[in-house]
Amino acid sequence: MVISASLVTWFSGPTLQTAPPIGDWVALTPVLLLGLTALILFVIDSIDPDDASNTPALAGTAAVGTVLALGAAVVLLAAGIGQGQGGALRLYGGQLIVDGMALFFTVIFTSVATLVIVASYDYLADRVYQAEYYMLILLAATGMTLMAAAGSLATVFISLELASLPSYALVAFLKDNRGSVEAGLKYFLIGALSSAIFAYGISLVYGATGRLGLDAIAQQLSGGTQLVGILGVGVLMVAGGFAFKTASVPFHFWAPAAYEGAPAPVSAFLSSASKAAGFVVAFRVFAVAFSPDAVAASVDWTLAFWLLAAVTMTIGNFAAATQDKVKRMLAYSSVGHAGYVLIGLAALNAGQNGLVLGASMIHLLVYGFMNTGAFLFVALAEHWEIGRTFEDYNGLGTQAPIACVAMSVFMFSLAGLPVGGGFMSKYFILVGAVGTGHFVLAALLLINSALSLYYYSRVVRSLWFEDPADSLSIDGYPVGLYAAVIGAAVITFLLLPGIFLASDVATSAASALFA
Amino acid sequence: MVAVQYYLLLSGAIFCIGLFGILTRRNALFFLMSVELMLNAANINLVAFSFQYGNLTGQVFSLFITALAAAEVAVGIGIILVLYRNFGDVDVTKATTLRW
Amino acid sequence: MTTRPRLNLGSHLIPGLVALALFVVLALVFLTASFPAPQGFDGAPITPSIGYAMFDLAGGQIPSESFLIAFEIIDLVLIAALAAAVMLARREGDGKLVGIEEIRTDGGHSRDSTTDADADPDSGSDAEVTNDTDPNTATGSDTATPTGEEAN
Repeated sequence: MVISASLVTWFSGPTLQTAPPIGDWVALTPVLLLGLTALILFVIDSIDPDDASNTPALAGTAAVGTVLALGAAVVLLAAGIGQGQGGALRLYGGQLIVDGMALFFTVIFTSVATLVIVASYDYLADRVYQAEYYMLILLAATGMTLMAAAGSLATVFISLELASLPSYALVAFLKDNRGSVEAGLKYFLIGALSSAIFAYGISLVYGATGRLGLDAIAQQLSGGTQLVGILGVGVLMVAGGFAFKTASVPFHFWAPAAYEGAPAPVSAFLSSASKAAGFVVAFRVFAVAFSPDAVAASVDWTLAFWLLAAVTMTIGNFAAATQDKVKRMLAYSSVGHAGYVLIGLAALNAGQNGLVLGASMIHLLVYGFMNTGAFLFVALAEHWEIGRTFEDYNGLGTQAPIACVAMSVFMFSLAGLPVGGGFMSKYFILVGAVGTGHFVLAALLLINSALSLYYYSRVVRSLWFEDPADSLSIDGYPVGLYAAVIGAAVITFLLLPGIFLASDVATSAASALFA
Repeated sequence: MVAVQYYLLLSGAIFCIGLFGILTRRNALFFLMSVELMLNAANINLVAFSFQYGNLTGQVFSLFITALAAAEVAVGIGIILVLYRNFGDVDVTKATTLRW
Repeated sequence: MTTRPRLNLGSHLIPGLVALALFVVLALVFLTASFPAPQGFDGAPITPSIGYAMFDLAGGQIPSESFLIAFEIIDLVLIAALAAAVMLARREGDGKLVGIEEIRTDGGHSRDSTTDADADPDSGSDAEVTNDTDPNTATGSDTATPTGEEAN
């Protein structure tokens, strides 16, 4: 009798409180598609694990999954889901928030993932563990889209781990290559350390507010808090966790080693998508939970980000200028670009929040294409086995002109010349910095961009104006790698005139955070 | 009744011990253990504050951190295994093909 | 932090001071914070409430944020960790390990431990154990770490 009574209460009593209605599941389509594709790959691989002939099926499934997720995200963004009048969609009691910013970044992640997967088909030819590779890429992308939509520090931490754990393994993917293994080790060591610091920071923020939900924290803090010290240490540690994910100072030093040692498509994925994921979650946590209005009197974190932005872009660019390997140069330049984007956080609370944050979002979008393209060109060079230094690229323009045109577009766009979207996005950041009175940051941005032109143009000079070495020869033009590189170049170029399409979406999505 | 400050001091001490271990140990397995210490320091805080505020959010989240720590160790051991196969050692300073 | 060439007590000083300084800062912050009396749970059942909170069910007597989505994400995390760990740890094709010819279970330090054991069973093995588990505190005997151990 007791059992049946408890069964009755089990059936009738507890009900799901906050599971979203069926209609709201549509908003999660990109996440679900990415996750399901990863599981499908698992199934395909377990049917016939040792068969090398199912490689096209694996790569094709993965690419279809990311393209579908990309399409879904674009449709949702265009349909205005979670934007405008209705406000953000809150699922699971606010644990997930689907709004313009989440969808905007989902577009970035899925685009980068698509390019990387298409390029990996050639790069990974004849390697084992391909199913695991694509699956880990997809799971990491799932984690990133969840990071973009995370509405509580608990969800932030767990989805950050979902993005990180596959990345560690992907960096060490070339198991018999010492550089790759060492890169994976260093990435893992710093990642584990920073996630521990991040967790401790979260526990202190919980200690100061008694909440983990971003909105709830903001609500608690808006009335002022007695526990300024604990909150301050917690916020600093949380910022440290984001600094790791975005490869900013002081947790940037894993980036050169990890990007150099990792397989080049994985470097592209990490330096573009993973960095953007770190930034979106930093934007959301700092703009919503520790909203500048609420905590300006107690914990003025904009000053910390001001310092981080200045130091990060300077260190990144000066270190990049002294490199002799192209991949390592790109790694340091990736640190420098993190510094540019950090201006968006440093310039908050000066009355132009939507504008400056929107500028950072646009830069991350453009950066997603141009930086991915640049790393994929390096992947192409590794595929041809022509070497890693600037000199090894000498005269490549005579052998592979189309890819070299694409690479030139990436380089000039990264430097901020008007041949690609990088010019406009950097201009937006500059306008935001000047408009909020951060003239020092604006000046640093200009100086660093000028410096970056020096080392980016070294690559272009090698490609076109140096005489090729006698031994330079390339075998074949791999279709997948070429398609990815050219696709990235075309979009980078199209974003120069088309930037205003994206900038409206980004600015309104950023403004919605502060509404 | 133990004041919440004592739990905080305990967790702070454990966190710093973990940090000390990370800064001084060359053995990758010790590194993993030190990270576990730091994560568990966060767990102590979460549980203590959960009682302080009378809600269960912190306690439930500490369970999730425990699970994540296990997942992290699984991947970490995998990386240490390939490190050992390539470099013949689990010393993190032995891997010096790349510069930092 | 990991690039220091040798470890001895002297080089533990700086990290020790760093950790100690951090603890002093944390302790100062914690002790100067003033908390109200804890609210506690008033004897409400905690474990069932954790279950209700984790699966986002009505019925828990203690308030909590919902963790259903976190539970679903952590499922994916564990799948990812499983796939990653298996991929990394699996032996290649013919059962041979990549890059190393024999399996050693002692951390790679004691290839010559048999000769040690022959010469002086007790102290020899003790020294090896100290070296294997904790090379850092083996005072003054760090040179015992063999340098010619690397495979390949």
